[in-house]
Amino acid sequence: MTAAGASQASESASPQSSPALEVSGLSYRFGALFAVRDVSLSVPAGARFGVIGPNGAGKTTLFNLLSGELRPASGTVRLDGRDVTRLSPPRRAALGLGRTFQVTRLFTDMTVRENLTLAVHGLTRTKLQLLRPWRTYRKEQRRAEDLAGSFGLGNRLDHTPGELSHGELRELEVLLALATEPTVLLLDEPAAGLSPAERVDIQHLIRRLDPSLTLVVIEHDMNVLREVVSWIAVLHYGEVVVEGPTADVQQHPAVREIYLGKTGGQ
Amino acid sequence: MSDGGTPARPRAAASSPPARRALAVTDLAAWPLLSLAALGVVTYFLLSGSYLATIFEDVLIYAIAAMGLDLFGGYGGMVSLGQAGFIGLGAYGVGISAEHGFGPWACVGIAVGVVIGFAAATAVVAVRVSGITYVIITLAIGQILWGLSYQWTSLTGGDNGIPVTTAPSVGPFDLSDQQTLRVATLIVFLIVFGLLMLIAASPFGLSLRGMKSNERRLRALGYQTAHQRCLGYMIASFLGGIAGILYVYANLLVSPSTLEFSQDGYLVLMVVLGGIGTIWGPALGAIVIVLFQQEVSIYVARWQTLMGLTFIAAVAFKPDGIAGLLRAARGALHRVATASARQTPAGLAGRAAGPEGGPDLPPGGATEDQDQRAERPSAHRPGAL
Repeated sequence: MTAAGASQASESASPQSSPALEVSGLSYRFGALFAVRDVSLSVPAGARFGVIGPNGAGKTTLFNLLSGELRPASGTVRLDGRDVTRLSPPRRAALGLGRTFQVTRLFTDMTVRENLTLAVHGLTRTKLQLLRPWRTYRKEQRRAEDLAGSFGLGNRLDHTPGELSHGELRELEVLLALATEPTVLLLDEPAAGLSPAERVDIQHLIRRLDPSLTLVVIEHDMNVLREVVSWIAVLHYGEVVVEGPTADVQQHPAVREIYLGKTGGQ
Repeated sequence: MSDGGTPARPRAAASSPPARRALAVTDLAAWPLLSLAALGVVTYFLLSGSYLATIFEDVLIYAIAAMGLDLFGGYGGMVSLGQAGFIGLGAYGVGISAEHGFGPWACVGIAVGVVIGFAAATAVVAVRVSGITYVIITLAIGQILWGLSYQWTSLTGGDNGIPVTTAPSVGPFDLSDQQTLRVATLIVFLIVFGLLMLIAASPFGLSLRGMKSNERRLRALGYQTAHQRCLGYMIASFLGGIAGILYVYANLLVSPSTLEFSQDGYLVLMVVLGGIGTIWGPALGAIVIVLFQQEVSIYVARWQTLMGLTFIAAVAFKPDGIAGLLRAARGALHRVATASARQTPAGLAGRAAGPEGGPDLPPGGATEDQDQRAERPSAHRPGAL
């Protein structure tokens, strides 16, 4: 079933030969427990792809496998057709894979400008430059400022994360990933812990992203997800149980039972 | 008043960042003066010909090693307890090659080679381990070197150490002359200080801070942190070696006590007491520690106890060290200055009104606007530099 779903996805949405991100037979175990079990997904370039499931379904483990922080027990991860299964996170980043974290991971003792500067330099050779102050890199500084400005953090450049609101922190979390100009962006629960108003902000941010960017979004909240993605895979006990267009998945009886039923409804 | 709906943002903006920016500006003005003053004092004592000259020579030498330690430890979060081992490598590198009949410059070259070679061979430690494990393993490396210096008597002379008499000459300047050597030490110190300030402000320096702050995120942004770790370790070790080379010419002798464990401890003390994560902090820390060793020890038999208590007090009450103290003093000065410059009543009302002040009181709101306007010109300054 998952294989059928995967091929359907690539046929319906992608005119290209190889999908931007392709996962086949991916498994990962914590001891005897399969956190991710035989997951196969195909994400075409430019797709807005959602992964949903209750807490503990293996969503974040799946992301860690995609970004390279965990090595799978079996299966492969392909980025633009290239097998990256054995590559480290920085190497995958260099190939165009960006990610955010569910628990905000910023450089907390550095200002927003310094955070963004680090990110902007991430994939350049200048990051090992010793004898020139980073403030004198005009192009990189302008890019950091533009990034902050484009998402409402323009007047927060000289603040540390401790001085930002939770919503701004989640925005910065996404901006750091965007600064490396990824072709595939993995967003791990971008709306985690946000108020309803802040959720709308982050949804706006996500919808405004470059359409050519391939986006994979993890959420456990269907209401957030359906606003930003067009295709959803449902993860349950580490396996993909349903996959398809957002509207279909929402109506799927198995989903309602597993997902809404288990979490106790609204 | 019009923005009463979003009270949190403007108020947060008004509180600490202007202070920080103003501090940055104060920094710019105070920096050259302070450093010139410090430099003047150090140069005076260094060239005074009194016994204080040797003390300040020691200060500069240990400051070089401590600043190197702080680049990787303070900025990168990789605190080493083996830095004295590299001082020893540099010093023994000179001593042993001099004993084998090499010329003075050849000795220096060999010592630098040994330091770099050993650092490269052990860099795998810095790449592989972090945190307390790194502290312990660098301690072990330092202790291995100390053990070798103590027991490999055929090479090191064991307990007696190796006397070194002839230092190299730079053109007409013979560094065997202690006064000339002190000038040379000051010059090396200034070069190292300048380079480290530059490195700390570079993209690499920023990435070291990022590594300390959140290495996992840094890797996700494309940084192969093994590179950062390797380079940081090499720089820190190299500076330890440079300090060792100067040390052996200043003291005319190298013995196992140069790299015994207490020396590692003193170096870390210099960094922590001076202000971890600043380049000039460890230099100040070196002054304090060396003065403790050389001066306080004359008057107080239990000077180490006193130093220990000072250290505990510093860590408990002022964990960011002398640098933090200075920063706080500057902040206080600045607050006094701005408070009086601002024609106080409205400003004080805005501040005293606290959380509810913004939306309710016209004076408070006006002050915030002033703040925003006032901070703009200064905001561009640090960026332009």
